Amino acid sequence: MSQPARAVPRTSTPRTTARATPTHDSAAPRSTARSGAARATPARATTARATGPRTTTGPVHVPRSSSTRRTGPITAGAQLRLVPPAPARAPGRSRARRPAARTRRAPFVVLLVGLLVATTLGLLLLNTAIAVDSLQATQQRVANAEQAEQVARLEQQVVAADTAAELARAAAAAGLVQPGAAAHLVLQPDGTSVVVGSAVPAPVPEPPTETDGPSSPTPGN
Amino acid sequence: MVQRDRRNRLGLAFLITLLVVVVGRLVVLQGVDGAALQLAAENDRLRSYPIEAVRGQVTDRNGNPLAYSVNAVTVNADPSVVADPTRTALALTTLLGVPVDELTEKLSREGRFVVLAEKVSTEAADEIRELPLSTRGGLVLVDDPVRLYPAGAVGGQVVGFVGSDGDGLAGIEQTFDEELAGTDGQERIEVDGSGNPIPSGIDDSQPATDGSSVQLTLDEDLQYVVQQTLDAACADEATESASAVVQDVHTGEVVALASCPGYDPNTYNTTDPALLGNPVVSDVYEPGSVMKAVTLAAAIEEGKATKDTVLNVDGHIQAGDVVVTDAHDHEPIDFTLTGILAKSSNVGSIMLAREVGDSTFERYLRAFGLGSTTGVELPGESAGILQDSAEWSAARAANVPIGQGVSVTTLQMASVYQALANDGVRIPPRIVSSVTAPDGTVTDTPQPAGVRVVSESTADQLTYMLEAVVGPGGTAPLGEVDGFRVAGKTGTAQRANPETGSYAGGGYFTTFVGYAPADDPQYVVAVDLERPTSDAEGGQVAAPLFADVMRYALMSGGVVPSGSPRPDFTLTVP
Repeated sequence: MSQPARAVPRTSTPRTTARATPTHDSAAPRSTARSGAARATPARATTARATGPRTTTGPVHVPRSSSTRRTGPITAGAQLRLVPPAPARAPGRSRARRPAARTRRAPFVVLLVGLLVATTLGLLLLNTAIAVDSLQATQQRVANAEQAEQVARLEQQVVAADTAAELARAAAAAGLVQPGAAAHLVLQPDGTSVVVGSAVPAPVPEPPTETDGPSSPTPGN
Repeated sequence: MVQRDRRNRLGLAFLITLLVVVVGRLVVLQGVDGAALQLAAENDRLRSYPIEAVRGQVTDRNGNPLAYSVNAVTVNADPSVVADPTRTALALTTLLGVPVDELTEKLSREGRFVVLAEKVSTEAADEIRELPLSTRGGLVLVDDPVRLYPAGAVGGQVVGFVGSDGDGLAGIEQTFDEELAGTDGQERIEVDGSGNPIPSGIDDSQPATDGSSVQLTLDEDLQYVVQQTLDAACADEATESASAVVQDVHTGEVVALASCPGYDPNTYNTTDPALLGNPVVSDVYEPGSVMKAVTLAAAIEEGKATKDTVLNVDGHIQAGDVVVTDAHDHEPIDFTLTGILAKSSNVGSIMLAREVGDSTFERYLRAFGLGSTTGVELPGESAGILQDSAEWSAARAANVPIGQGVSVTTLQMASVYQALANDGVRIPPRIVSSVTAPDGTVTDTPQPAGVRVVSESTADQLTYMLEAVVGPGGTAPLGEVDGFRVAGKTGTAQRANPETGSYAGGGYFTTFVGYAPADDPQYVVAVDLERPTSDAEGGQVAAPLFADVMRYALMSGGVVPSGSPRPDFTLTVP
């Protein structure tokens, strides 16, 4: 789709500029060539300048170009002499046309500049936003890793304190003792119960020594 | 005009040449070297970091971790960059737990690499990172996960350990190394000039797949009690080593498996390498009289006798060129089969084995799982030693029925009694309950198919007779557990003296294997002790250990005490 559409202005642009540039090196065609980046503009610009058919564009511009050449810093004397009356007409005409073209072109240029600025700003904004997000993501990843590390450390403590050996040690430190043989009350079908086995009291633990300090159980409880 | 034409042509030629050169260079860059240059550019921007897979946990049957991995750090240093070795050493000594002198010496060495400390906690690593640059300059911290065994020696032989290169070298860590290890990943991201990741840049990272967790059938609490009981036994100088197995009667699951001296996997590299095995499954011994249960089961199953059959048993019996006697020679006695087992009569057992015949008896031995590995998920399992019956001499044929001349592992012996307790169906022991993948998929280890060894009636008669062993007049009243009926058998086998190659002066293997409650068996416990310098019998040494372990297993397992009293046994006929 885009290929054929672009092909038309592309072929038309060289045609118009080819006719315009060799005959006059004026600032006006140059500016159209520059804005020709927008491809469609040369066609509009040329028709605006010359209301006649396209083929007449060249000749119409001759006097104007010679006038500009005359005002230019490097000019050929022979050519200057050949066309004395032209300067009087040409400036007048161009003066009348240029402001009009300028006013017509102004919104477009502003639009372009605006687009450029907006795009640049937009890009800058997006880039900044992405960079900020990335920074935050990195920070949060680091924080996450730290938290995970903390959880792992705490879990390690729980696991270490939860082993059978450690529980037994802690229980002994708290004054608990291994139970003796337990007796069982077994319910009979008729609702009575029978004691199976014989309960043996656990050996009395040694009284806590002075070195146990504040953690020793208070007597009487 | 001619001059201009020439100029134009020259210009054109120049432009064409320029174009050809530019296009040619373009083709070379894009076409010929394109791929290589693109790769070089990408490599310049891409950084790869390995992501290490976290090794899976090993847990007991209740999910308590027996082995797990935590992040840790290895602290290395480049001595040529360290500004002031003494100051750095002083700053590190408490954080690393390494003496100042050692650190100073290492930091002052020639060369560019030295390992200061391994397995440093992440906490200490954070503190090192916060040291002033002048102190920590030249230090390099490398992530190095460390394997922890919180229960230490409890279950240590079963769990095994992981070598420094991360490979499982013993126990479950070895058997299930592939499942536990997982697959390492790789972080591959695009970075900017200063090495920071570019947001929305190339990121073809491969995440690591963590290892699966392995859940064992062990019960950590029971394992602890078994370990404590065995350690207490090993504290006696006469006992060189002791092993015990607790098995679930109905599933064949190993609930506890331990031996002393054991080892703590956390410190395996400083442990005597000779201790780094698992004797319960890899060491064999002659079981002695506990084998008589197999002999009598074969006789009953073959219809040669029942529990009440009366045999006139002499005090000794001729077997080839040797004479086998009972523990104490005696005049002929009329023993019931129950009496033969309760009094552990060698002569009676040999008489019954002869009735059965060697090859048939061998068939029973093998059906009970002797002479072949049980298939438990532990490395280095021994099949035991059971000679082909065709090669038995007369003396050997008389020795095997009483548990000499045949070698078994403690686990095999437990498995024999599991079959008797489980109405004659032997379920090969297993120690792994399930494997859980990192995505949560649980793969249960299938319970091996049961093998019917003897009929239910035979198993019931054996249970009845084995109860007489701990009853009045039996060899092991110390094997009783208050409130529960216990069936079991003692064994006191002569130990071959490694110095002389004969039984003389070798001491004894004392054994007790049994199950409870006899009226509804739940647990099988096998205990054996190697006592090279003592002549105490199994009923005196092994039976009390059996009772301690069984008492705890029954109580913690919530087993209801036996409702019926123990029957009265007729051991001898007047």
